[in-house]
Amino acid sequence: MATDKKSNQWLIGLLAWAVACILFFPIFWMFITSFKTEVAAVSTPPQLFFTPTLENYVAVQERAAYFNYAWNSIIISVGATVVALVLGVPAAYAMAFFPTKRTKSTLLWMLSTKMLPPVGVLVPIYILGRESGLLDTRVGLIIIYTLINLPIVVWMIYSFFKEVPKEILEADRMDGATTYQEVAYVLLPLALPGIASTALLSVILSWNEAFWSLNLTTFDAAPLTAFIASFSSPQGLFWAKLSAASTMAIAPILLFGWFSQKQLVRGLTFGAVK
Amino acid sequence: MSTVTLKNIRKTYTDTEVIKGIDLEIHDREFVVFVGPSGCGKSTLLRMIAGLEDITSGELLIDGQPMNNVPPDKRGLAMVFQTYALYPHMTVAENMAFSLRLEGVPKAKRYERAKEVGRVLQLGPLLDRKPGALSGGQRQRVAIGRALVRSPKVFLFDEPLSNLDAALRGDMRLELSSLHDSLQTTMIYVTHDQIEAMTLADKIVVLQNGVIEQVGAPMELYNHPCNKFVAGFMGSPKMNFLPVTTASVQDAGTVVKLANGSTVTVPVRPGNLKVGDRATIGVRPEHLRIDANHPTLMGEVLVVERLGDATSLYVKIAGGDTLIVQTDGNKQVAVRDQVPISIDGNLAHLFDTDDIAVSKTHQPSIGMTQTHEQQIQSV
Repeated sequence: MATDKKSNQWLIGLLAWAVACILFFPIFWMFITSFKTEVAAVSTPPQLFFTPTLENYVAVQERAAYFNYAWNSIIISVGATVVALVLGVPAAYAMAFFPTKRTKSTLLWMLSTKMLPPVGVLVPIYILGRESGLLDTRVGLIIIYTLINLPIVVWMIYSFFKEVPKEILEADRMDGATTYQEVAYVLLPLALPGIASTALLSVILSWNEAFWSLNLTTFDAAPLTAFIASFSSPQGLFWAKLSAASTMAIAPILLFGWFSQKQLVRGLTFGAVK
Repeated sequence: MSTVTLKNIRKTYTDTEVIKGIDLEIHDREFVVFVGPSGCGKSTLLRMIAGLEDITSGELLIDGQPMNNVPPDKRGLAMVFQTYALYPHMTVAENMAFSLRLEGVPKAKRYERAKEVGRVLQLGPLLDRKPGALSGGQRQRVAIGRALVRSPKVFLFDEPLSNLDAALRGDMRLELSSLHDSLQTTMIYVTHDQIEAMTLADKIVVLQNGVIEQVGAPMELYNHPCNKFVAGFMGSPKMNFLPVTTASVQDAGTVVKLANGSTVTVPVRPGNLKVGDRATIGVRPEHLRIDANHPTLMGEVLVVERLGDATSLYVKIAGGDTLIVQTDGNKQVAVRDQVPISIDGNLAHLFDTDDIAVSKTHQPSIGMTQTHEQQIQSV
């Protein structure tokens, strides 16, 4: 029995590593390609050993203002996350603690908007953006990203709030807490891990979003996704430079995710193992 | 002074009425226990008093002031929850002093008060710990401490001991009892455990299906249950019930005939009962005796439960009914023994066709109702 269990664990460990390697491989390949020359990048068979060069990074820097794009990405993803939380937390609070007959269907409806192919509403949104002067503005993208992420934010926070025992809130009401005090002193501290991971997820999703940023921005508000895309067109594909640009684009969010993964995992599995 | 008055209190959820018109007077310093089977509405009633549930109709008065629309924290009450409901992210001291923090009391003063209450509840060394690091009993004490800090007019307890193990429950029961003694505050306590009700209460309110079945001192309910439900609910092991027919009415009481033909004289006025009517006789297990000289019934022992000080026998009698008989701990008896059972009519209860108790002609000698009342008054 005991050895069975041990070999099982070993197998699961192996499988986990295999999956992780498969998932990580493209990132790894992109990373090493960014240090190859353009010729080495497209050579067959692919080269695993080569003399690394920084020329791609230099070229990318010369061609495009990386920090302009990066700054846009930060402003837009953090901005959209903050707005989504400001709207989503009260919505989740109401739905979790004061549900009505329609709460369930409201939640489902919110989720159903995620099933809509974005391209289906591209034209109306584009026209709305043009008419309101929000095309190629950070505010425009913040609004779009907020709306995209709001269902997920509300759902996640709703489920974290649901985990908070009702009696604790009744106890604070007996203690004399106003709604504001209840949320600030009791609910938010209790749901903080959940809210943190929700925020994290929202930042990551906004950071990686490409469809709307490519369609609604040109330069002023263009985030890093647009920066990467700009290396794929006019003069053909430059794999090495594209890789360098991609590496630079995902590096911040990758590091951010790396350092907060403990928080993220705790939030995503909150309640599952209690 | 802190009295609680309920006038025709009702609660309706969409279209089911769960509390069906409760009238109750809770006096100053009284320890009142709401008891009843699960779903009887006892917790809902308590939560309505607390202000955590709306009152559909009727009037709630605390110290004579209408409270129906007063928010929970303005009613001068404190509540101890079944699950303790401590704030997990705060220390014991912060938990207890949270209400003071909300009132804007400075930190040092809050801690002072928490320390004071902590001393009373022997929580002194635990003040800086989080609830997660406490045992069940300690958590319960913190929950009580949180209520104490507010110096409430009335304490509300919602099944506070049901999450504790048996030994701890006994200890906490004693602590609650002495707490009531020392605080001299009105307390309302909800439980489904009739032992807690009997041991703690000055006054027990027995509820079933949203109505009060009976209100009285513990021994009053034990000795004079007003109907079959209360008779069966109060007392452990449960009262035995046997179908009888009214045989005759005499000065000494009502004579009833059991299924096997033997008769028992119960010292009650017949009330609505007429000769020939079906009725139910109720006898507590501790009032049945194994007695070969005056056997009322014969039966076969199915199970012998040795409790040490007493032995419970589950005896199957002719007709299929099972009686619980409590005898002394060392009684020589074994499974499948045939035993003669004697019913003492003086200790029996009679219930009419509607399960209403037929009133006794005299108080039985074991009545302790008086002494209990005196205890309350002497306090």
